[in-house]
This record gives sequence, C-alpha cells and structure tokens, in this order.
Amino acid sequence: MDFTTETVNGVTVVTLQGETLDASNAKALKTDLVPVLAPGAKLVFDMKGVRFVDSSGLGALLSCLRQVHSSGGDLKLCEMGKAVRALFELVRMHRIFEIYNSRDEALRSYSAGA
Amino acid sequence: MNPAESCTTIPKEDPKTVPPALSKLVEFFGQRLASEPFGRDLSVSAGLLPAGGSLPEGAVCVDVAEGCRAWARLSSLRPECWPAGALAALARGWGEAYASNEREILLMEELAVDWESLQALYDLSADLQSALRPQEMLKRILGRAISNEPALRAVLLVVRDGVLGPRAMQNLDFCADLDPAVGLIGQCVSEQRSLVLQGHDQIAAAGTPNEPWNGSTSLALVPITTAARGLFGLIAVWRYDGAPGFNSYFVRLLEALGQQAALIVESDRLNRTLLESERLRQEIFIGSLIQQLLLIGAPPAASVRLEVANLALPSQTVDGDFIDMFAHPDGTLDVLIGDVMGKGIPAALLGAATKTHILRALAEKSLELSSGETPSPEDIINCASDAIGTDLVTLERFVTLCYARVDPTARRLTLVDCGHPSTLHYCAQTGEVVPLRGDGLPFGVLPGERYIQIEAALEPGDMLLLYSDGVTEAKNPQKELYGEERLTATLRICSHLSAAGLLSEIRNRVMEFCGDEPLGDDFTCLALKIRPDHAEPAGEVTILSSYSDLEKMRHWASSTLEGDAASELGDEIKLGLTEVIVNVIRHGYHEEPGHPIQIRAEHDAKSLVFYVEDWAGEWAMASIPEPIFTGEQDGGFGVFIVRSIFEDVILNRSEDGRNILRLSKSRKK
Repeated sequence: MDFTTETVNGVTVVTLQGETLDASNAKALKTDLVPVLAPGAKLVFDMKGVRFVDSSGLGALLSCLRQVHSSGGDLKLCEMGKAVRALFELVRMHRIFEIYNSRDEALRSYSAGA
Repeated sequence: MNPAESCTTIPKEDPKTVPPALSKLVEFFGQRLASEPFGRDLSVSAGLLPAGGSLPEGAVCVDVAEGCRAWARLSSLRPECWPAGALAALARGWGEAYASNEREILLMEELAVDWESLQALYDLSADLQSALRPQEMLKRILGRAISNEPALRAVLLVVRDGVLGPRAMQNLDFCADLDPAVGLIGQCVSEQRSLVLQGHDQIAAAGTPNEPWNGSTSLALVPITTAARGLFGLIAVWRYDGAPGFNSYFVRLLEALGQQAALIVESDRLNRTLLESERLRQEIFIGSLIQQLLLIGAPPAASVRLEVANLALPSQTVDGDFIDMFAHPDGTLDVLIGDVMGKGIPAALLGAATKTHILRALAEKSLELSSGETPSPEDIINCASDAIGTDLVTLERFVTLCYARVDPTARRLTLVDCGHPSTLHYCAQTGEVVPLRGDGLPFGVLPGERYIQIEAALEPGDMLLLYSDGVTEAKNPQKELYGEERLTATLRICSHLSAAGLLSEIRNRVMEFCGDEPLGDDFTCLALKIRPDHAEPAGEVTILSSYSDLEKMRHWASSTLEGDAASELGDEIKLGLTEVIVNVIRHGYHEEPGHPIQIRAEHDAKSLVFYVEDWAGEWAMASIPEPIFTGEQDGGFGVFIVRSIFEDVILNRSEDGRNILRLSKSRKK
C-alpha cells in the first residue's frame, strides 16, 4: 500500500493510498512506514481512501501506534470509512486510537494539546 | 440383571392376554441372553403370528403350541458389531434350540412314568447349563443311554457331507463313515422312525457287515431330526449277551437324549461360527493395517485443477493390491495401481516390493535426465520391469499394474497398462465412458517384455477410474459378477460427483449388489477428476492459499449478496470471510502458496450461509482466549471477529479429509 506524507505545523500527515489494508499488504506497509515513525513524531493517518481493513491491517496500525507512543510521539486517525469504523468498534480499538472525523480536526487536536 | 425382564419386550397388548406359550418363548430367549457373554448387547422382541400374517424382517417363526405360531427377533444395541444377517442366524439357532427344548419337555411328560429316565434327563439338562466341552457332554448323554452298563454299547452318528460319522461312543471303538442309504440305517432313515430289533439273526439279516452293531443280539436305533436341518443323526444302543431287549420307554429316552445331543452339536456349531467370525474380523483388521501402511499411498492434497481420491477395502485374506501417487511440481500427477496374483502376506510383501521398484525406477530415470525433465511412464515401467520381472518369473508370481500420468494443464493422459483391468475414462463432452487398455503383459509373465504407453486427451469435467479386479469380480449371492458393464454405468451416472463422491457411490452400489456375500478379493479403486476451470458456478469460488486472492474472494462474496453487498451486513460478511481465509492460509496451509480453498454460498430468505473448504489436513481455527483490547498486542482478533460476525461457526471433516467450515448469519439486523 502506497502512501504520501506532508508536514503541517510539525505534524506529519500520512495519506494511505489504496482501498484495502489486509493480510496481503499489512506487513509491507508496516515496513514502509518505519522511516515515518521517528522518535517523538506527531502523526495523523488519513484513511479517506481506505474502504476495507481486516485484523492484519489493524495489527499494522496498532504496531505503529505502540512504536510512536514508546518514543513520546502520537498517532491519530481521521476520515475513517463506515466499514473500517465498524471493525475498530467491533474490537474496541476506537478506545485505543484517537479518531477524528476530518483531517483538520485531527490537526487541531495537536495544536490544542500543545 | 434379569434379562427376561430388562431385555425382552412382550408385544404391547394387555399382558393378561399374552398366551402362556408366547411367554415361554420370550422367557426361553431371555434365558439364552442371560447365559451368553454377549447377551447384554442384544434384545429380543416377540409376538404371535396371525393366520396369513407375514413374518417381521429378520425374525424366526417357532411353533409354541398346537396351531399357535410365534415369532421372535433379535436386535442389537451395537449394530456395527451385529449385522442383520448374524442376528437372524443367531435367532434361527435359538429358535431351533427352543423347538428342540419343547419337544424334550413333551417327551419328558410322556416319560413321567419312568422316574429313573426322568432323573437322567434332569441331570443332563443341568449339564447343558454347565460349561462342559461339547464332546464331554455328548459322551455323558450316551453314558446315560446305557446307564453305564458295561454290556451295552452306544454310538452317536451325525450327518456330515452326506455320510454318517461317529461323533461320540461308549464301550466302543469305531471310526468308519456309514452310508445313510443302506442297511438298518437306511431303513431307519427312510422310515423316519425308531427301530427295535431282537435276536442275532434278525439284526444280521437286515444290517450290513460294516455297521458297528453287526453280531449283536439286541439293538435300538433312533433317528434324530431337527426342524431346520432334517436328519441330524442317529443314536444306536445294542448288546451282544442275549439279555432281554429294549422297550418303548427306553426308545423314548433315546429320542429325548438324541434331541439334547442335537442341541449341543448345533449350539457348538453356532458358537464356532461366532468365534470364526471374530477371528476373521481380527484377520481383516491386520490385513487392512498392512494395506494402509505398506500398500496404499495417501492421495496428495487436491490441486485446483485435479481432484484425487482412493478407496481400499481389504477382503478376508490379505491381498497384494497397491496404490501410489507422485505429484510433480507443475501439478502433473502420476498414479499407480497394481494387483499381485495370489493372497496372503507373501502377496502383500510382493506388492510393497513392486511399489518400491517403480519408485526407484522413477528416481533413477529422473537422475539420467537433465534437470527439469520428467521420465516418461513407459521408461519408468520398462526400467522397473527389467529390475523385478525376472525375479517374478522365478517366483512364478505375476503382478498386473497400470501407471497413469495426468497432466491437467496440457489436459493429457499418458498410460502404461501391464495386464491390468481397463482404466475407465468418462468424457464430459460426449457423456460416454471409454475403456483404456494397452496390450502389455503383467510383470513376471515374460522376461524382457517392452511396454508402450498410450495417450488420451482430457477435458474439464472428465473422470478417470482405475481399479483392481476385486471391484468387477465382486459377487452377489447368485454368484454373478458385478462386472465392468455395471461399473461403467455407475461411472456415467455419477459423473457429476466429486472423485471422492464417485468412490463412495461405487462402494455403496457394489455392497448393495453383493448383499450378504463377502468380498472375495481386495476392493481397490482410485478416481481422478479434472476440475472444470473458469466455469465456476455462481454460488462457488475457488481461490489459492495466498493473501493476494483475498480481494477476489471479497469480490465474489459481494456478488452473492446482491442488494446487501453495500450494506453494513455486506461489510461484516466480507470482513468475517477475510478473517476465516487468512486463518486457513496462515494456520492450515502455513502460508504455503498454491493450495485450493473453496467457498460456497447457500443463502436463503432468512440467513446468509457460507461453506469454506480446505484440504490442509487436521487443523481447526484456534480457540484462542479473548483478545487483549488494550492495544498492547497486534494480533489475536481474527477468531474473535469471526465469532462476533457469524452466529454459527461449525467445523466438519469430510470422509476424504476436507475441512468444511460452515458460517451462517441471519439477514435481520
């Protein structure tokens, strides 16, 4: 799964490009994201284009979250589709991740906290 | 446990109206149940047979009183150990024993005037319940007949293979067989009545010199008949000392003793039959172990293009049928089926040796060729024949076999036939079955025989059936053979089934044809089916064990959901199925690519039902504990998700080793 990154006010916005994050590409994505997960990084994952995530995809996101948390950074999700949101709720991960409806809301949460 | 109470059932009439005669029958069967070690497996039902009424299946009919006929039937709590035929035979034996017992009671009533005789019969009845060997009991019966008087001689003659042979005797040493048609015996048998003769001259005139009582002065000769077997034998008692002869009471006593002797011999025969069948069961068990371990190769995992199944039922003696399969990396499959002439362990070992030689020939020929090339079936067979053929000629044994190579990609069959029954080829396009047969001789007939392969084109949906002659030579009770024609018809009718389904249908049809007739030969067959490609029915999809096929599966799943595809329900189904397939690939196939996973939809108005089938051997979706929801762990959610989404998740294993997971979810929110 490809992704693009841009930096807005010190926050790295990662836009996932591709409709599916499942067992077929979760491992590769985790490897590809390593450079982005710098110590103390402030991250927003924009999930707008992602229409399907399975437990392997979720595992990749969780792994990123833990890595960022351990180095004092943060990872927030936004623009999540209905089906993906349902998965997060099913396994209660909406309580672990900070999830925002829009990319702006996610960015604002960083400046409010800062 | 009192079996007369707990195991027997009296017909559901008012107990008061049950005739005493029927109660006696039920009681008799109950006693037998109690005295047999296997009695607790069985139960008895019985009833009266109305005039013109038909006998219930497997029941025996017994005269319980003048003009009163009853039936009795055994049933088993463990039907797998007691086939209907065995139960019917046992019931028949007990029915005969009952009839004989009844006759004895009648005789005893008549004999009541003679206390001494009555006492003798009571003692013997007690003996019958004891565990004496049959020979001892028969000798004791004869001892009673002569009241252990040294001047008297006695013999029990029993019919076997058309002659009368001595089975037990007292004060006598006699071993010749006697013709039941001549002399005093002939007279006694043809008139079916007891004879009492007095005086040397009279006996000498009517008898023949080889009868043991030749030269005696008094003789009583009593025929023994049983309801089921007609003439059973004779009891003879005689003396040489001119003392007064035998009266009619004595003859009645001999008749009663004769019935008891018949009872003992018959019950002994029945017991032996039971023991024999137990011994046979053991032998079959050992035979089947040898077959499964040494001779019958396991089918490789099914590929996307080819289904394989085999079936091997050993007969009562170990045979040398063998099967082997070699899967090539490109999906081509070689199969081998063979049959060693002869039976027993030597045949089984020869079967194993032949298999080994062919495997070795395959390896040797492969080494000679440059890498990537595969030796042709005829090269393999000629090489193996050179190695083992001469030995087989020396041993005067021969082996028929068929080596077939099925290339499902090139759709080509290459086959070498070494005197084996025809391979049957069902052609899906024409609907016809073509027998494929070469003209090679069996291994071991002619040293130096050259084998030539034949070829045939295969199409999707085609089936191949290879079998040993045990299948076509299975006999029914009329000794007719099942034959290639019936097998061909079965293949044509069952061509829509899977390879495993075809074999199970062949088994059922042959067993039905044979009835009670046991298999005389090993029953071995192997079926292959070329899977139809791209022509998957709408309700079914086959994907391969790699994660890149998940999208294809989800696409297919959406198509089965129609209007629900874009709904929340559709999202859940796609997620649930993805988790299941990922589990199959990860834990079933250990992420080895190229294995098939078949998914089938059988929705109805109320619920969505999916079947996910794999050939990954025994594994089950782990029943892992509740996942950790704190975010400390990446995995462990898959099974939880599956169980949350589907209301029912049921795993079954089919006979041919598939895992079939049934997933269902109701349509309502």
